[in-house]
Amino acid sequence: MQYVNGMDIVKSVYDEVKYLINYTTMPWTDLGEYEECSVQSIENPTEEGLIFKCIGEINTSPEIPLNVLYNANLQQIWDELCIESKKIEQLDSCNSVDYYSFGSPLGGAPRDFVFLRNFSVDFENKSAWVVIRSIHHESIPSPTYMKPSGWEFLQISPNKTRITLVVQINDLTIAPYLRINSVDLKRIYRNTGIQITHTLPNLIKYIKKNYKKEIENNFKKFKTPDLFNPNLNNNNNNNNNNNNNNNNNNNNNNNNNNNNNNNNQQQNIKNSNSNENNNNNSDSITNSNSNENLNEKDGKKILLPQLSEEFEFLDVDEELYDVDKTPTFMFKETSKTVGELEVNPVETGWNCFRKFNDYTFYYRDYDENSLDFACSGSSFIDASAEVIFSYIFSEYSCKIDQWTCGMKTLKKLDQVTSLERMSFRSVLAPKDVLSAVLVKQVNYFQKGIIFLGYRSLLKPSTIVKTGFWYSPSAYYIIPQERGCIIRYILKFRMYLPPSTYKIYPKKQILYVISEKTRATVEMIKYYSINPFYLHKRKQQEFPHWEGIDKFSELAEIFSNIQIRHSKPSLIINSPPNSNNHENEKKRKFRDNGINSTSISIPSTQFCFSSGGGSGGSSSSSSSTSSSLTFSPPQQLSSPTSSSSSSTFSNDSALIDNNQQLDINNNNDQEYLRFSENWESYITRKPFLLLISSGLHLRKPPKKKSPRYLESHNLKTCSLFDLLPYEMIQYIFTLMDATHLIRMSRTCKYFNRICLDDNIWRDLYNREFTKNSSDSLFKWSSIEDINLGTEKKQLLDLTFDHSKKKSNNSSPLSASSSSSSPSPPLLPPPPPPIPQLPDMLLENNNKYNNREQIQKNEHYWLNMFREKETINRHWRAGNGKVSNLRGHKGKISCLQMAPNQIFTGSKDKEFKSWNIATKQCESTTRCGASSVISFEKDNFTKLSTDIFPYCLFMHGIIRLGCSNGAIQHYNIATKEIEKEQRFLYVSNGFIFMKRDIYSYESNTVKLYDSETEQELQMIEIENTKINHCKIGRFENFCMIACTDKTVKLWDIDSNKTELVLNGHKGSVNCLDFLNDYQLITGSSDKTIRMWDIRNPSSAIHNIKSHSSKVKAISIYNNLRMCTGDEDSICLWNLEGSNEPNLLTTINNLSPVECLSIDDETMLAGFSDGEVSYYDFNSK
Amino acid sequence: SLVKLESSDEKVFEIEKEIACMSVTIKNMIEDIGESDSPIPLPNVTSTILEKVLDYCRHHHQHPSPQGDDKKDEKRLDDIPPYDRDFCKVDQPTLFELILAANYLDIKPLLDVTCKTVANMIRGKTPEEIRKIFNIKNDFTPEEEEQIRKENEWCEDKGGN
Repeated sequence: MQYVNGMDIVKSVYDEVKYLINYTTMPWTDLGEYEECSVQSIENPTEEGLIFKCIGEINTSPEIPLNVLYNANLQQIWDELCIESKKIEQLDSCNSVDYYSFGSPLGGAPRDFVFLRNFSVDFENKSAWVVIRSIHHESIPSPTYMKPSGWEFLQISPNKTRITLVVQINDLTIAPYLRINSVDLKRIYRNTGIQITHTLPNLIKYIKKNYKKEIENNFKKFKTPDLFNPNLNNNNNNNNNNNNNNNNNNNNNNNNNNNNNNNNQQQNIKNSNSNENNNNNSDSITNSNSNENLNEKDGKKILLPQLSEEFEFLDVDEELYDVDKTPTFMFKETSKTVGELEVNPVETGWNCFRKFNDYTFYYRDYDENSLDFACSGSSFIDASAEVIFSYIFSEYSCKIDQWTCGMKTLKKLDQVTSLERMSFRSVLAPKDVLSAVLVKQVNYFQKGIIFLGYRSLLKPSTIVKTGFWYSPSAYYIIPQERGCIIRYILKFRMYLPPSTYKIYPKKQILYVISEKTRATVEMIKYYSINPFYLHKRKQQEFPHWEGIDKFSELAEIFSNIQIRHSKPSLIINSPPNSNNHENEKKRKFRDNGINSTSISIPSTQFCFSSGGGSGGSSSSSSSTSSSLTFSPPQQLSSPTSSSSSSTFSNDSALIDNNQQLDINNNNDQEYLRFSENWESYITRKPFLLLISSGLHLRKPPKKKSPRYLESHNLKTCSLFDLLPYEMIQYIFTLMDATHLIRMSRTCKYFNRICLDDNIWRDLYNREFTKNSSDSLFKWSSIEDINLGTEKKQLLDLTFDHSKKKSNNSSPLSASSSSSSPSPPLLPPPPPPIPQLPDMLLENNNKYNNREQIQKNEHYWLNMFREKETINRHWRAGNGKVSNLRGHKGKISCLQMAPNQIFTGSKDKEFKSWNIATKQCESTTRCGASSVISFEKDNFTKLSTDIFPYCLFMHGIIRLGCSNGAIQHYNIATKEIEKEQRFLYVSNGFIFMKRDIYSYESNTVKLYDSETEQELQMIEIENTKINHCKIGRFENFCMIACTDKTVKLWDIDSNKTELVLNGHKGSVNCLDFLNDYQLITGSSDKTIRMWDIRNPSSAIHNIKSHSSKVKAISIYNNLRMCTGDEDSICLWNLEGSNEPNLLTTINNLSPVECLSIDDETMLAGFSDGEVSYYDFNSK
Repeated sequence: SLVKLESSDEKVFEIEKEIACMSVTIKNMIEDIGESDSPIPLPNVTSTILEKVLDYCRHHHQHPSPQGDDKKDEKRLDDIPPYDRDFCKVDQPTLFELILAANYLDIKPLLDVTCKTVANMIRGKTPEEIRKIFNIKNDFTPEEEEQIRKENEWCEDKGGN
């Protein structure tokens, strides 16, 4: 245990900050002006990081800003980015330990700080100082570290103060921002000091607003009031005393207060300060902008007549959820969500079930009847912030969004907050339209950052009625030099009673939600780049803090709402209370006996005032001051405004005495004042800082070792016993799966450690996400990490033996579809029977219990095992084959959905099949011509696109027929809804959102499906087109021709840009490997790999086939299958450049079309048969 | 400037501050206490081990390794530089004590290299061989052992990468 003298630490911080502010010859870089404050930065010469300096001026004495800062609890009110601020401990009257939590306008997780803050006055230079140093306090688990920083308040003229804020940030501090895309966000941060540029302007704005009268008084009543001139102060003694009384009355005697108030009404501005804090503590609305007395309304439960008229869909007795009234309350709420999801999802009970590039999806079971879903991610959109903004939660949303079908602004509460009525389709029953009222708040942060947050207005308990409840969610639009990064945090709760799962397995529900969520963002992206309306550039005034008038309307509506923070009654894996700074009593970090150990905070009214002030020690006895070591004279706020005798009185005055005392204890209302002999009035107590508790906060929080280790007390009886658990775990993370398993077989202790899921998570990410890049901007990096396994994992959730039986004996499809009112998107069949790997099945009965435990605890181990098993089955071509019989003609197109298969054939029929039962579910006859293609039937599959959720229209598959007709097939009703016909013959279609390509003979034509106009057309002479495919950027089309070539048609310029020569036979099929590479199959029995950047010849020419290659399908740049007249070849594309032949499967008839994904393959044959290969089970 | 470090057996080592600061723990202590003449006590490290650790720090201070910013390679086992490999050619007790010291002193590169050395010792070995090398006591019953073997069959036959 080592202690250092706290005073010395404070002194060194003070010296450092003073140096940074006063040493002007440093080469500061100007970052510009932000709301009349200039910002500069400089590289920190001693370590990696930056020092920011922000300078602003205010027309008051230094006293006011100093006092605003002195009250730590106020910061959350005036600082838009401060989520929470709280005094932890008052060491003496000028040193305190405070807790702060700051959100980030860049969408990063909030950061917690514990600051040791020291207040001092330098009379010689007429300046006041607040210096800050980050320390550790045991009540805050893992605060962020910040180097010494501070404020200087320099009185440059009697009524003018120059405020300088210096903040030293090392790159560690901004680490939370770097999660998304390190380089870019780091750059933004460094170039703007985004947080620093808010703090000082906010402080100035707050003071201007709340201390307006005093500032005016300064000018009117005193010509040259000088805070540092003691003579003037003497004049105010009377008032000081008077005020002093008031102030004490405030603690004890409310009646008295009220009297004083009547006398001194104009003084109320200052009171707002104290009021707010009191309100804060009594758990009512905190509002910095209005001094409305809301306390009176407390405790009444009130119906909402006005609202019920307006929101006719609400029940009258519906309780409304509270709406906080700060201009950035949504931002603050959302920041907490970000922290939950990105910092410790596991601790807060979130399961990540799906993840790729930009998106991470989470869920958690909220209670038995509802489920929380969350998505976090970021994307780059090459469009202006304004355009992107117009597509998010706006009138346009319903056109592009997968959920929304109506959006209407009900009421503008203020310039940034509004109530929106949103109608949306239910996930489970898309035909039903539900409504919800949302609170939406739009903040415009500096550097053009737009924050759009929303939340359901109603309380979470209303979820049963709406089925849906939005937790605080948001989009952040962060402009770049070109385009914007959008960052999204979506979180909502769904009402899903267990009975739902009987109809739709949880897996499917999550799947659909995640897919629709993704589709929403993708659509925002799509339309932002290709706006379907001419965006009217309205020069919008972006109102911020100033423009908000008192929230009068809000107050009107909500003044009679009972404010209640409802706590969820039941949370599985309830999140730990991270802000548990209630236990102030357990203070390790402390004075070690030098300071008194009682918690009583010196409620000193510590004033800097001249000698006259000493007479003011007429403080009436207050119970709080009884424990004080020192009670200095309590005086007027500021000598300059003292003639108006400002008071500290409590306006609300309704809380009883006891409560009042509590508040005062917690919330010491102190006021700092300037005077030459201020030193004699303040208390100074020595305090020690415990070094081992970490003045510096670099030590990672200790991970808890799993409980079973403690209980078993297992040992290896070797040198390993010396090492702490974390170290052994670390060594284990260096090993591969094989060796991990071998270690686990050596002894019980290692066996336990090896089952630690963290190890498997690391390993999984290392083994299976090698190629995934964290870059936002690379298309090619799209890579699935756990699509396949996730399916399995989710299956595990719903898997039980009884279900398995019923599935086997009778297909549930018929019964369940009739029982569910509208199974629209999700077809009702039961989930595929989960097949556990063989060895598990063997032991299934014997070790059933054990396995059950493993299922819950060993998420990543199971994922890893699953992926590994699939990989091995793939490599061996070892899948379970099922044949789907029913079509009478050649199969022309096919695709698989999570539990369905869709096939189209020359026999003029379109069929859907149930994967679990392998039975045909429905047959649709498409008139008199054959089905030749349907939407996304043979697209280059990425894990990010899951059929049918990647379809352009909700639940509609567009079928293309050989007679040119386009049929709209509704997946839910299994019927053709609509027929479109604007061409009369076709050999094949490609549906790309609104664009429809059709090829026939030697022409490819592009149509707009809405206007049915032909947009582009290309004719290739002396050949016939076999196959076409659109490149990923949708700007070119590869055309496979009978003349042994592949041609690249640039759609925009309408030219054949490239011809790939090399095949010796007709080219039959092609698919893209990535943005530039493609693989073609030809009648010359070869497949070739090409790079369009180097088109002169094929990169690889592979002669593994023994007959004409007719079909090809590539999944996620990883796997490929190619089919010829009598076999299917499976290829591995991972790792090496050249496709690596895994195995060949022989068939009886020629392959016509293929489709693969992570663990399955679908092949259609010329004789009408369809084969389904499942590599997840033998 | 020099700082003094005191090992658990009360031997005092003098070393350049810059080198000592490769240990994050020492760095923090110096920053917080300020420089002083009294030695920094390191009660968890014996003089033998501290001497080795300081050798390591001195060497790496003189020969700073090129900062590979490829995080992917962080966990590779075959990229141990020659000096480090030789450095870790010590008997097992010393190696384990080095790990403990590296952990306590918070010297990431040393921790990495020592842990990798242990991992390399495990590489390519069967469970029985691993037990032998480290003298690990097999506390499974034959039935348990068989069961675990069966459960983990999925991972064998893959062959060590």
